[in-house]
Amino acid sequence: MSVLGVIDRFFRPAHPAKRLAALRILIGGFGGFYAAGLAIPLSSFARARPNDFSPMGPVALLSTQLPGWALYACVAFAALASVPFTLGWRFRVTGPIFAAAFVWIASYRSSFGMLFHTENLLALHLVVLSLGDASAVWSLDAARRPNAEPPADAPRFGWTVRLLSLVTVTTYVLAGIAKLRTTGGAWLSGDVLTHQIAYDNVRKAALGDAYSPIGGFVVRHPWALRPLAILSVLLELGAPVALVGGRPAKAWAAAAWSFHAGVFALMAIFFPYPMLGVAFLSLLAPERMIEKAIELRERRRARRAAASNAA
Amino acid sequence: MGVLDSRLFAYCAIALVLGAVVSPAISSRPKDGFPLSTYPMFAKNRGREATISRVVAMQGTGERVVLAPRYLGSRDVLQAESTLNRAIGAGEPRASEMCQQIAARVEAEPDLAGAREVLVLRLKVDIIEWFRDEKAATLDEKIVAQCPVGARK
Repeated sequence: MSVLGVIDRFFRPAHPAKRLAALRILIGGFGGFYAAGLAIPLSSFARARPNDFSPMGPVALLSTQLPGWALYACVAFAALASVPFTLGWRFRVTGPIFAAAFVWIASYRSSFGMLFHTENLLALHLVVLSLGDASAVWSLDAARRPNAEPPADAPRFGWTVRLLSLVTVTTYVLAGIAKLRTTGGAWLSGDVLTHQIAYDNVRKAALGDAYSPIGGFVVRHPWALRPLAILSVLLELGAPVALVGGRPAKAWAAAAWSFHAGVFALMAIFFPYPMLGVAFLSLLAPERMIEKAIELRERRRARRAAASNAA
Repeated sequence: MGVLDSRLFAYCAIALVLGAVVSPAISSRPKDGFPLSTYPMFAKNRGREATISRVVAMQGTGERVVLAPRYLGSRDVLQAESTLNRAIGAGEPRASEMCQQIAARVEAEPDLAGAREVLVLRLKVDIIEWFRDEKAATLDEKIVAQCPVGARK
């Protein structure tokens, strides 16, 4: 195979339609619940002062903040738009609509002086999914073509899956670069991580909020944090190994999950998208989860039918 | 053959998305944002001494009750902190205005019926020692704003 052929196979691997469809269902479903949940934090912005408004991303189109009713309408619209996205109904249209609606409300949330980095990757993944052919199977679009042959594995499904993984990996690499660029080698000594954990917990405790007692204890034993500091940068800069697929991808995803579990344990910061594993699904074979669920449901149905026949 | 089958469309999408994702970081003046970010989480070297904000309700007994983020206008602690720090940074009139808003919320809270006034504080602290001995770790305390709870008090 030529070099160009190898490159093309890397960026456009022939993947099953079910893999991309599974990602649509799982990431879209998660995004829908997340969008609905944003109604709670966004409610405080309905009463925010105009001076506190510093628009981010597409929200920069606004010259002033939205009135309360419009804000709630945006959240409701985004949550509802996730339904056709997840079900794969007229996905060419509804896919981009939900992605845009999510980016809008998540950007709005980050437009009051505090950037919520927990939402960047989810927003980017929804945008990528909306660009692909994610409703070829396991969708209402596919149900409208009952006689169509199931599509064969193809690059038109693979490139979107690959792009989801590339975006995931890139965000981790950028985070690793940011640490080294901002602090130089000091990050590797563990001091920066120690102070970050301490600062984050102290500012929360000072405002009467939940903090991590483990973090409060560990910062007085900084030697314990040096290996974690080195490992975290290695994990971030080494993220491209996940693009190899197979065991390296599983191992990296497990390590990245552990990293977020560590952040939760030491700083009481919960990144739901990676912590629930959804952020790493494109590196794995998520269609097997759905196939197993379908198989389980069919077995139950068959057992019930057999029991009612016997009766 | 649909557009999604097209090799050109796939490569354009890949180039555009990846280009956008890395663009804030490779810029000559990297700037964090949303949804495109430089991912600077936990990267800043903060040092052992830090200045933090705190809001307390002074009880009639002289006891201080630390006020939770919801009194500051948000249930999210980081959002509440950001709003508070911006108010403090904007100067005394804005900090006083926020103090009064907090005092109004305190007044409406039955659990804080004994509160006499609200203090907005800036503390200089040793962040490593804080969880061992909060008092000893507080190196300096400055009252930024002070306001009574309720007109009757």
